[in-house]
Amino acid sequence: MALLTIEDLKKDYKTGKVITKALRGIDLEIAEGEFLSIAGPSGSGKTTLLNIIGCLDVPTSGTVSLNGTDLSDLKKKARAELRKDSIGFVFQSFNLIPVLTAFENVEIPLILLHWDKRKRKETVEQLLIDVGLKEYIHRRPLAMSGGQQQRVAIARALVKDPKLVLADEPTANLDSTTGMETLKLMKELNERKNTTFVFSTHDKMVMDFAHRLILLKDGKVSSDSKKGK
Amino acid sequence: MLFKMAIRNVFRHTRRTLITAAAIGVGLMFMIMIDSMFGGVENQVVRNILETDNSELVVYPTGVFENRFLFPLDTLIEDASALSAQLEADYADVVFATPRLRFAVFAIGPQAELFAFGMGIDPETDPKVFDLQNKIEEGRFLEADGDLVIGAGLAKELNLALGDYVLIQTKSRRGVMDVREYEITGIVNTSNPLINSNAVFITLADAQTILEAPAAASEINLHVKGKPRDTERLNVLGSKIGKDLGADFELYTWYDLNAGLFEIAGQKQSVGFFIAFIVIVIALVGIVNTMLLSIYERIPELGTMRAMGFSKGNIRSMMLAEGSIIGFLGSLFGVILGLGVVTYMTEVGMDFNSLMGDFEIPMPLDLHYRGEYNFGYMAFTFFLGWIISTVITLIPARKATRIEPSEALRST
Repeated sequence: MALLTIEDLKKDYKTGKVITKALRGIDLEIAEGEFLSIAGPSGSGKTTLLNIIGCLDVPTSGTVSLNGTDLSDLKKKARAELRKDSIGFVFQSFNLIPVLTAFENVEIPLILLHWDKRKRKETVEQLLIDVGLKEYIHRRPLAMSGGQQQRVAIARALVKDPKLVLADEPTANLDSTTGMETLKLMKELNERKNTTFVFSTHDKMVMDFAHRLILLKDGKVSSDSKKGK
Repeated sequence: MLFKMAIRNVFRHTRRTLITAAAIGVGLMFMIMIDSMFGGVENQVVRNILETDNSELVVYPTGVFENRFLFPLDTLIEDASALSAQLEADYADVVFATPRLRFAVFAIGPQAELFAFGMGIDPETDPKVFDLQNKIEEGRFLEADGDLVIGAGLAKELNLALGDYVLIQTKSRRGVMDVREYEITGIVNTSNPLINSNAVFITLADAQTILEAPAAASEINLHVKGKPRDTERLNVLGSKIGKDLGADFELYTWYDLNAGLFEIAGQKQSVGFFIAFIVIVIALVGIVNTMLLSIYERIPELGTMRAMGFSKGNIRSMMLAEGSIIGFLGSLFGVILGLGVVTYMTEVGMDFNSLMGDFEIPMPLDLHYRGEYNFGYMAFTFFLGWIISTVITLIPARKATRIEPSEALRST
């Protein structure tokens, strides 16, 4: 069974009397453990699609099912719960909370899930060691490089063992070497934990790295190609 | 975690936080200062009244209270000294009692003449209730019949000095005009303008003779146990004594006798608190502004938090904690600042003597003004500032909870 099923997904944005059709009918199936990239030019609907998959936005029509749950039927609170339990996010600008240390940033999702303190400490420390940040555990984001911050963001996305990680242009603010290291890290985690990764990108390196590449154009899937693991 | 984040967020922009807290603090400091100022004024007024004019409880013949400033002689307390002694003996709460006989006089000096009021007082018992003897500026307090003590202001108006002679013209109880010459044996200077500018004191016996009212008095002043400001207790005691004395007598508290004075003070206090309220509102607008600014700066961050699963309640709690921390700091600062100002006002005070010159304030108030400590009010102000700062943060917090994660993340 597919982890994610998208059928005839449409999304319109209304600005005054102007209606912008961001998604014009997307059909997709994403299996568990996929390492998938959604690419396309600016305005093609990548971020909109990711937002809807990530329960951050609702479709105008069509259905999105995550593990059999129809996301379009969910109320705001239920969508927030689903985000908290099952989805991890990695953002282009890392979006770490600047007043918290690397440890605390990664710890937050577990606090929200009411894990006990000892278990949280063990899990967060191990994960930060796994992503190569042993020396930076108690540093705040502003005292870290972009690559280190993105590693913290990846650790934060993965700490609760989500079924799905959504990454919106995760390498856009990184140099190519750091970007490649980040991708390798995500791929390693994808292989080790069988977590599904969905990227939006227009970075060729990311497209080449993904197992499956979906190209969007004007709110529609223009191509869907699999390279295999 | 939310509280930890709130503390760190508050100190993310330390200068902005401190400015906002200082604004709240200054507002609260004004509130504390105004309270101390009015408290000090009220204290002085009460003290000056009790030391010179009325005691805590005053016994009048029934019906006289309303016309007491006309000094009616047709209704007096007969055998007043005996009644005073009886009141002292019968009521444990009555520490001392002294009769006073007030009457209208025309004071005539060699160069000027003025309407005034005379007061016959018992030199033995009056000092046990009042404090006039310690306010003698020149000469001495009444010792024997024939002595006269005059208010300093009245003496000045009449151009009279210690040892000068003054004619006291009055009408007796039977309507007989009487003029007597007195040597000024003392000049009294109090902070009560009523006494200073209008009063001449002679012995009670002298007054009773002049007024043809042997053993009579217009009032009996009772010095009672306990705090004078506890008017509720005074009313209870007054009712009890009044009931025992019967229908011929009425008792009034010092507050009843000076209600007009406190009405004015009350109005001034309202104005003072209105000013303080405005200052507080300005401070609170400051906190709302600071919080809104902080929210606008943190839109992507708040969006990320919502995306991660923070509930609206979590965001609201964090914002309220931030407002509460700023409010706590501001309130603490305000109380410390207020305590400093009040300490200065109370311990050092402000001397308006040189500023006011000969101008007399129409209230029993010292020109060396002193404030009053009111720790209860300081605590109240602290909690008021803290609670209001927290509650007012609901406005920006509402804004923060309405941020949609998808829109917030778009602005990264």
